[in-house]
Amino acid sequence: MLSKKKLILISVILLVLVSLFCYGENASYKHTIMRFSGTPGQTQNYNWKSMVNQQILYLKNIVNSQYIKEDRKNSINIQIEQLQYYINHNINPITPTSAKFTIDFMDQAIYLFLPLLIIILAGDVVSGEFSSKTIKVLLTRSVPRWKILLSKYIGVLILSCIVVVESALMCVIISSFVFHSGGWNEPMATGFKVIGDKLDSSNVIRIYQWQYAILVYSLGWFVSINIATLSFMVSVIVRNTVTSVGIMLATLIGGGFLQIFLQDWPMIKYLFAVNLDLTQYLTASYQPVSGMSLSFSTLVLCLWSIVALVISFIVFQKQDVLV
Amino acid sequence: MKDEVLLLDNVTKTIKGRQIIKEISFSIKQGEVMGFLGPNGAGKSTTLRMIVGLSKPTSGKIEICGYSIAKNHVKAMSNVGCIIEGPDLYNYMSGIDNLKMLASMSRGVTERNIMDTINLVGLKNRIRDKVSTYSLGMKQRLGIAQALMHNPKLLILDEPTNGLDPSGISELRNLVKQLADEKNISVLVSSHIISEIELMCDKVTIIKNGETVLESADVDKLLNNQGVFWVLSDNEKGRKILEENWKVKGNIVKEKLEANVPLEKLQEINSCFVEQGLMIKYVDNKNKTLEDLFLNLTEGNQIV
Repeated sequence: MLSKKKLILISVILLVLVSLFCYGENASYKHTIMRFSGTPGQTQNYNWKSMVNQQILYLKNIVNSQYIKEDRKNSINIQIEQLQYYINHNINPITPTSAKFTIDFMDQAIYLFLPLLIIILAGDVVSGEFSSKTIKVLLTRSVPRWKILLSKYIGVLILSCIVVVESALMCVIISSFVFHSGGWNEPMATGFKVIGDKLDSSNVIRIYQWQYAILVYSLGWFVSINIATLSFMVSVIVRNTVTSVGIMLATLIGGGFLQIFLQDWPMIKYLFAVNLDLTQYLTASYQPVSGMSLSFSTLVLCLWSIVALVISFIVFQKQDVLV
Repeated sequence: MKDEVLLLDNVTKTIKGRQIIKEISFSIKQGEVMGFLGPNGAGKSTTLRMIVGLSKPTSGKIEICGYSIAKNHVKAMSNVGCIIEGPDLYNYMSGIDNLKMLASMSRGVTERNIMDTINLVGLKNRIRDKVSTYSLGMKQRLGIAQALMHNPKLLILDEPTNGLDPSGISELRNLVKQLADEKNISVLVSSHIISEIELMCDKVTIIKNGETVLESADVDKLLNNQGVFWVLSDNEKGRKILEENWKVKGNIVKEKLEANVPLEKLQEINSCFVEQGLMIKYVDNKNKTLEDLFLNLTEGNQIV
């Protein structure tokens, strides 16, 4: 299918989803305010500190309850300490702003939604040429095969970049419209570390929201590139659009399942699908399988991509075209 | 450089343990139009695919203008224009966009070249429309245009008359002849319509079950130097006369006397028969057309 048409499709999907998220976040925020302050409708002037304190109290109650599991306790403790840090340093974590929403969106999209969009785009870039049989025309020009594949790959990279930039723009525009406040220059804290079950805030750096947003979207871009490369390889090997998209979706979602069911199996951390949730490392409350870190995950993804590229080029160079 | 534009030397192809092509060899000289025939499943398409580098031969060599397709794909292919199994182009683009995109992949194709080729194939009026709106015949013309625009020395046409109307077929025939005569382009045409090949080609190669059964034979000679059959009042006597006077061995098959004699001598033989008191009921060429020859050569074909 034509990539222009698919870009429009993806823009529409993004538009609908982002608007929906925005609306939902705004509604839940109003609901929270109402619950804590008891006065409906008043969202501008309220004491956020007392609200955060209430949240901390609530979380502490959960921790002290006897029915809660040990590992869950740890993560809640970390949450409490983070909230405490925000109070101590006068950072408002509650009021939604355009910046926070934009960051949140990528946080949620990075491990499933964004890869999904990329797979839709990259899944048929080579196999589509096979199903429309136009690959014959391309390969019988006086151009070496690897050049044709390379230009296809560059095309995929450009498309993935467009998707990341487009989702950022949509988030910024729609959320500014819904929340009426940018908040790009508000400070935020990153660099929390978990040592044992304690939160180590000695390395915490305070950066602006816009800096953090760029950080998060760079990670999203990195993940997109890797997913694009993997779909590209599958597309070269199976030469059938439906199969290639199917394989990619199955591994992506299957990886998520494996992560839940096979946490104790050490090999699982080398699967690419488990390493996609890069932004979670930034808030430190997360370690899907022990031994994983931001640098570990990026390294694993890089390795997968390099292997995929090598395989794609070798297969494409050698295969007989029989369509 | 040798005047052989295309050379196939003992080319074989084995797919999954089955030998599909068993040592095919033939060559095309400059300006020649070669017909490439064979029954279904004989390996025509596989051979053409190997010539243009879409698949690789298991052994043997293929050279285009002296360049090996395996070792020097770029140089070899810059001399080739081809349509392999139908003109598959990008449906969502206009004809002119298709041509421009493909032209950018070859060296030295100018806007002028493209426009000239469009005029040549007669697509000028519809060239800005999307390919998806084209009829099969128009797509075929566009396919020929993309094969011709970079001025190749060798043109490979796989089933080029598919979907063309009678006037289109005749135009294509004239185009091919014109290209061979004026620009000295060599053409390799595969087709199922044997009468087309007969009208279009100088030479013909026939393959069957992956083997050449007739290699680069001259079409004119082939059709002239054919068997003749008679239906005489006394076939046995006629056979004796042939053997005594012309040293030609004749066979009697059912009602007919068959023999291989050059057509020039037919008149002489016939008058001799009459002088000897034989009545000639009927006399004809055994293989009147290439089609008869083709059917004879490939008879009993089983798809293996």
